[in-house]
Amino acid sequence: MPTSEARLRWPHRPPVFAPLLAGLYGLLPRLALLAASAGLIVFALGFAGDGWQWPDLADPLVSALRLPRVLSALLVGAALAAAGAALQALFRNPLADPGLIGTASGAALAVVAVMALGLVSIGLPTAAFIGALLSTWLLLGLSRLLGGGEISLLLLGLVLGSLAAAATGMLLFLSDDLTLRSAMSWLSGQLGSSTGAPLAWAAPFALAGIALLLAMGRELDCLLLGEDEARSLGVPVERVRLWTAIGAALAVGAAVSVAGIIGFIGMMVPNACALLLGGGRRRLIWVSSLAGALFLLLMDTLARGIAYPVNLPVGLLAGFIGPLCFFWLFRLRARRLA
Amino acid sequence: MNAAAIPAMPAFLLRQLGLQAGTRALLEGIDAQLPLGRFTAIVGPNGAGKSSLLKLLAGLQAPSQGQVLLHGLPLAAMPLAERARQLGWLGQFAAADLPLSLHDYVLLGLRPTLGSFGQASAPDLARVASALQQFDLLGAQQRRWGQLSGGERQRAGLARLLVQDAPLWLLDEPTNHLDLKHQALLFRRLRAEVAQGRTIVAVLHDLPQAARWADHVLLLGEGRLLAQGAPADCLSAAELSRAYQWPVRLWPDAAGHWQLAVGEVA
Repeated sequence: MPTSEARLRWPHRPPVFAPLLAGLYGLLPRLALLAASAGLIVFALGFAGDGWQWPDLADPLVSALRLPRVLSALLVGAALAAAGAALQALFRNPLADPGLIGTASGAALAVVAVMALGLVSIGLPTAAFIGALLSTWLLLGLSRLLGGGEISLLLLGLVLGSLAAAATGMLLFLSDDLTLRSAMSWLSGQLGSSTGAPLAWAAPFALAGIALLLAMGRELDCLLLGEDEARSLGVPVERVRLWTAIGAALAVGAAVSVAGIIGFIGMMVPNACALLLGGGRRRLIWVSSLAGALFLLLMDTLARGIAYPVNLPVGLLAGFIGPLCFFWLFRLRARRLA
Repeated sequence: MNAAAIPAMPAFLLRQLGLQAGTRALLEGIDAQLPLGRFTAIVGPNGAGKSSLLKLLAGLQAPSQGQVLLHGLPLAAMPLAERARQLGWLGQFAAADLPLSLHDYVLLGLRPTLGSFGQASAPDLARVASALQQFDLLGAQQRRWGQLSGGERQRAGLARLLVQDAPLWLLDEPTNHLDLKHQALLFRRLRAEVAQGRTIVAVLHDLPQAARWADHVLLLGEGRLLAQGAPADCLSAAELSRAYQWPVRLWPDAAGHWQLAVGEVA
């Protein structure tokens, strides 16, 4: 019998799919343009009123700094949120997040290792993908081998993540290379850092990953019912697991190679979206990717302006908001048990 | 046409079927025929291997020995997608919580028809609505899975099977969590499905209900097939007592209802 103690509650509300989607589609391009054309204050004003204008692409500040940063925010946010929504179904756990279960740490370790070897450009997202895939696959294998339910999965992921983080720290410590020193700030989750992979190299990985996860939507919904149920519905379970892990690794690897580890986006965004439109992965993965892009763009614009002229890493900001969301999900569960 | 006059073809043919779990034999040397277009009940005490046998029939587990033939062909060789169109399986334990509404859940019954990517058409959605209505679930369709009662989840599972619309249903204790009214409605429903040509195999705990509603019975005990055939023939006091290792007697009363007497032994 399923034990209610070990179960975490999935957030859910009846669907308001169409209006939410229309809102996201309407907001995204406008906010992106605004963020590219202005700093925080103008951003806020421009969003409130109608006094905004197209970004001046001839301005080097816009074309060289802001626009790439805005595009990175969109890509990284979409990739992390889509991966989170898919991983939660893969592990049947609403708290699964690429940052919490070690996927991102595995990617970061691989990136640092490749940096230490002096390989860059395409090498970074490729290494990040391989690192993320290995850590996801290892976690999947270990959790099936050891069993023990959803909380122990998080613990296992935490342990794997810590292991990867320790190895990353060791690599950084042993290295006297300046590139690796500067990797520290990239690692804490920063958009627009010059250490990370160039956006153009990472984008194909992220987009391929998101597309793959979108394609797995219905299969993941079936997998949520349980392995036997999914198989009885004709779902090739092992293949779906592998493709989902590959898709999530592509997306998370690309995000990490660009912006380091930004935690909690993959947990917060899908769960918040599930509250609005129900947790079916077929819809949730792509609504989450839109909402994740929007969310990270807002967070990064905030991080950019909040301590001006200092550029706060957006990963730090996410690190403060994320745990609050985590507590909220735990409270949902506590309320049910009461 | 009188269905009873035609000898029932086997849907499933089991040949020397065995299942090992480590060194323990869960099932051993099962030779059986499950008739097509009939209601077969699998009965027996706890741990007799009923659910394991049902999983073997569904192809969810591979037998350690012997084979399962479906319509004369080895089940193991049947592609997964085709199996999902032929066999609907409803397990014993529904998930305690899912991030899905009842409607989303029943909708997944369309997976074998739609594949991974197909879009549900208007007739598909009408089928879902009709299945929800037939199992008295229309009012609850937007509720989240975690808020449903055990009985509602059980009925949701049956509605999902109805949407999946496979010609063979494999049900593991389908009366679990159902109250008396919904049990009676379920058995009537299953008989109606059989009358329309569906083949049903169900693991049942309740012997009088199995005897009353099933056409064919497999009696299991300790992983072996002790008897098979019409309920009146194979649920004799001797066989039942052997299976349950306890004095058990089952007989039809004057009104045709089956009565059960469980003896006391010193």
